[in-house]
Amino acid sequence: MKLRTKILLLLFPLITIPLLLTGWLAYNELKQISEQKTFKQVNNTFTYMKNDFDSILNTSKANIELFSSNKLLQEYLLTEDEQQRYYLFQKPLLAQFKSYQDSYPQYYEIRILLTDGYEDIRKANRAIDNITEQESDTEYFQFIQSSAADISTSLFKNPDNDEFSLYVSKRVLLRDPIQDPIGSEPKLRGYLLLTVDIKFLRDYLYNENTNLSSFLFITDRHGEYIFKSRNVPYTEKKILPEISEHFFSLVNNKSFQLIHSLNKSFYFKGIKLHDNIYAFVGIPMETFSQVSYHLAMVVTGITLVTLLVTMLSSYVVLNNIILDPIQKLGAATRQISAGHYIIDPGEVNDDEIGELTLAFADMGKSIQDSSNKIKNMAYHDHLTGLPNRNMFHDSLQKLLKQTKRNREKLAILYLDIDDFKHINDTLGHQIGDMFLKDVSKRLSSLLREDDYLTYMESSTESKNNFVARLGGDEFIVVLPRQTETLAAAGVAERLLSELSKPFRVKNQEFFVGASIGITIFPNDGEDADELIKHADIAMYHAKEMGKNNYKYFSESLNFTLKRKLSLESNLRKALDRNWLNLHYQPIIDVKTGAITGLEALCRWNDPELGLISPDEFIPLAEESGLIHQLGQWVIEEACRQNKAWQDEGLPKLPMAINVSSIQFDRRDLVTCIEKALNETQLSAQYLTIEITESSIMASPEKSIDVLQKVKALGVNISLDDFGSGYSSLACLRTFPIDTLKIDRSFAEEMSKKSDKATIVSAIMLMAHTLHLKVTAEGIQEASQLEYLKVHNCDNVQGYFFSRPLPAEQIPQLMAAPTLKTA
Amino acid sequence: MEQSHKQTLSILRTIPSSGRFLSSILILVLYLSTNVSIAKDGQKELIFLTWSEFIDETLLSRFENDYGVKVTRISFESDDMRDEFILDANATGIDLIISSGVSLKQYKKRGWLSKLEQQKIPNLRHLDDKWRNAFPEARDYGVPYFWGTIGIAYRKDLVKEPFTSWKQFYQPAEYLRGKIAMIKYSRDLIGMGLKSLGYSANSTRPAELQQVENLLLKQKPYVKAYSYLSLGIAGSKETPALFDGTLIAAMGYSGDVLTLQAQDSNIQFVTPEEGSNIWVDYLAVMSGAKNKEAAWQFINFLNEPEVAAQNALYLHYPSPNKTAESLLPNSHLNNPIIYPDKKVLEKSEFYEELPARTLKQRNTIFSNVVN
Repeated sequence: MKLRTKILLLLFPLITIPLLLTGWLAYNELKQISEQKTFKQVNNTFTYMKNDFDSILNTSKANIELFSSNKLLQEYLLTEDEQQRYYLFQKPLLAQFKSYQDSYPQYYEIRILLTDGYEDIRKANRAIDNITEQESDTEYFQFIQSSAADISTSLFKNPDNDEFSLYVSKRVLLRDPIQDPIGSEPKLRGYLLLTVDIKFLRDYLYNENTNLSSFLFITDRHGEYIFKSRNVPYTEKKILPEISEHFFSLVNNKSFQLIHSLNKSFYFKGIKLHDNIYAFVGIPMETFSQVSYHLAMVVTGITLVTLLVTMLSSYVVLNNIILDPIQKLGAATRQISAGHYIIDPGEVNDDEIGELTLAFADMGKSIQDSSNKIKNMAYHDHLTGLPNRNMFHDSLQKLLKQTKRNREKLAILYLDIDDFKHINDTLGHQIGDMFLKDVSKRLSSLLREDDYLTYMESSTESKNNFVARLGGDEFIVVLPRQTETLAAAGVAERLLSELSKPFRVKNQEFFVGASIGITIFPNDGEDADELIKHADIAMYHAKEMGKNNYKYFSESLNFTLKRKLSLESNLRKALDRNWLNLHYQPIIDVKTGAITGLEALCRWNDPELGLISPDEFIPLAEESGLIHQLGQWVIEEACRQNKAWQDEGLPKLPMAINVSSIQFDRRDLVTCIEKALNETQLSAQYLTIEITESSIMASPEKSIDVLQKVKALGVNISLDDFGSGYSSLACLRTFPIDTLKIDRSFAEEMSKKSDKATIVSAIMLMAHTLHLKVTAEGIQEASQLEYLKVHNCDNVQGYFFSRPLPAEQIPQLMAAPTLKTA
Repeated sequence: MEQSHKQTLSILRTIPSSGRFLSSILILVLYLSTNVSIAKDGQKELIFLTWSEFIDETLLSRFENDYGVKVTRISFESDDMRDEFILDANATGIDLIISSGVSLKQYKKRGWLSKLEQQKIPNLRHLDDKWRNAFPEARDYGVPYFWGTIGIAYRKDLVKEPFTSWKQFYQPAEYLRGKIAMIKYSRDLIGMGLKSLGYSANSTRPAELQQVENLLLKQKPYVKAYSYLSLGIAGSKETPALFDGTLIAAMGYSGDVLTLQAQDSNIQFVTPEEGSNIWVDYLAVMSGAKNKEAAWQFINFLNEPEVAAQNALYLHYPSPNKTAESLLPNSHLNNPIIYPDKKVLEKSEFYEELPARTLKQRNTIFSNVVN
């Protein structure tokens, strides 16, 4: 038995015994109160019932007295001629009865019976079939006849509807003022009869004591049920003998009587409402035991809560002094056995247990040291010291979870040495093994394998690449946290180039290649096995394609990569071999139609790949860094050509060139322009640089600096694609800009009366107030030109006038006096 | 003032009949009989219990002037109501009544009626024996005043098809829900119901009567009111329900409907094809009358052929006075509403005296339906 349990067991009786004792006493007291309360309630109910019943009875008696004195009724009874009675009196009398029933709907039948029991008139306010008109044989008619009093009341079952009803009747004794001699006794003419609904008694069945399981029933004097509350346990028509034998004592005695019935004990009491109607209440004994049950529950509850509170508080105290330190020690021991050897003893109490804890911590540390050695042996490849297949699998799974959680990508490179078998066969296994060690060293150094070890020991998330040896000449490189699927290709290339360096083993020098298959998680597989399998397939594919190569498992990636790589290398070649050239598009003065400038546009017609769109090669150039070389070339070529035309005697016009945002970011843009101007001897006023609003808005302060320097050279500055970005005209004020070029997307809208057209006119208006010139690009139709003329646009450019043309066609163009603007 | 007969005082029209209501009428009657009999200027007074405006007013003034008798009228709404009325008044304070033929027997049995003093009514000779003998007690106790039939008055512009039969009325089409009125008289209510089922209006068979009860209870949702259809002047405050379309059809007495028709040509009358009741209203003198002489004089006056003819023309009813009839224009005599088609008349019945048990059953039915 645990120490804690022992201590708590000691506390248990100390708390429970007094509580239970109190509970028992309270229970007894409560039970008595509950019994008394219930009995009182029942007596009250009986009193109300009796009062209600008597009140209905008395009202009915008074009413029947009143009704019977009605003149119409008396005349009706005095008219012995049946036909006359019915012809003249019955209808008004029925109406009279109806008016009684309107006031007293409980008198659901009002009737007159003649002395022989014939039902002469009857008004019912509900649909009841009149079974017989001859009532002489009925129980109640005989009762009425034999009754000593003129007014009699009794309860019978109504033969017409089988309902127990109260019958109130009155003998109508009349003296015929015409026929009977004066002073003679009045004769019995008939009986006025009210059938009174006693359903009101049913309200008591449902209203009272519903929370207790007591029940109420109403019977006639023979014990036949008239009404029963729903929870009456008896289904018979009459009360059971065990109750009926006490029938009168129940009614007469003041106290409740305990009767055993239906294998249960019930308290019973009865009351007489009228000669033929009795009410009884039964209360099962269990009702009270139910009350006690509730009490018992409460006492138990209190006991449990007290126990809980006491035990919790004792528990806290015990814990702090003894149990907690002991438990810590226990936990530490378990940790050591589970393989976590480094224990933080934390703050220890200055007692024996504290000392023991510190000793444990020491012990853990020394176990840890020897454990590390063992672990290295189990999880690492004995030859290369790299993680082996098992370890790789474990960690890849962890990495995949982490990758999934972070919604990142992960690349797996499956590397196989080409023709390793040949090395083994020709140079022997020993050299083969040493070669593999070299391979793993080169791979590891490339991927900084140390990080991987750190990852294994601390279970924090790793950001690092790692390499593992699966067996033989197969290695796996894992690259987590990939944002760019093609980046894995870079790593693959580096690995291949690292392995392509000569190997030297035991004075043998030789070259090898390797094939790599690449899969990307989650694109190429959902779990480790699938990813490895697909990488393996991709690797074999690479081998088939001629070895010393890498392949993505996904074909589309292979294609994109291929295109990108060939474009990049061809762009290099193109720059070197002058495959690029410039085309020129004239800029036209709107008012005069004269050419006011040219824009140089780069074209690349590759002998292998054909014509390549600037949309494709400019981003590539930017990505690969070739943009600087390209940009420099464009500036120089444009300046050179312009100068050449000027020397030929053509009109001197400014030449615009586009400057990429990456170029613009470099501080050397200014020197680059300076160099080009110097070399070509072109006057700076004939050079315009076009920059997009997005490139200057990326870092406005720096941009102002650069632009001011460019401006200082005397070069014009044009803001290209204006309107496509978000800069406002107001903030342009701060830039040293000469011209705005409205983005070609506006051109299409100009001829329509759209919002964009309105914007264009606003731009032009504001540009002029800022003393900027406006050039509209992409003009293709006369209607656009019309619009621009109306809104005072300065210059236009577009296919409507001329497409960009090769240099040799420009002199001819400039020779023409004007272009079609008029 | 427009004439109208078998019509009620406005007070009777608006207050539903009930026991309480009857007693208030009783007070009214007692008031009249005690105060008015003392009369102004010692003038004689004749208390006349009749359908309201069941006489040409000009004739009344003429009689009052010529004979020096003040005629005070008390009006009732239905035959049933008249019975209850006399009963409530204990048959006192009334000199002259208009009674249905079928009531005469009970009134006589009760001892309420005076036997005709024929020598005081020389104009009896003008009357058609057919009507004088139509009911057993009629010859000795009553003088026929007018006769007529019961039919259906309806708005021809509002009905989906014209009424031709009682069946259409007792088993009404859905659009008539809450749009019809029934006469509050048990004989008419039950009698025409019997006709609609193809039985005699005087049926004594409990099963047939039971069928009528079911019929009436089913019809009840379609019935706006159990009261005589209101007459009156179009546009007046008491615009009759037929005029404003509150009612589409109502049971009515032939001449009354002609009165209505004169005001609104959309009102149509039909004596249904199953036949009808031929009612005869008699003038009868009460046995407790205080002014019998004046009563005989008045009856004789009303039967002056020229007086009777004027009265008939005014009220749109066929006169039982043969001589008077010969004075009436063809427009009156050939009017099919005033003088119904022979075929219809052949199918029509007088109300007959009923056995006690039948009366009892009919009373119960009436009470169940109307109360």
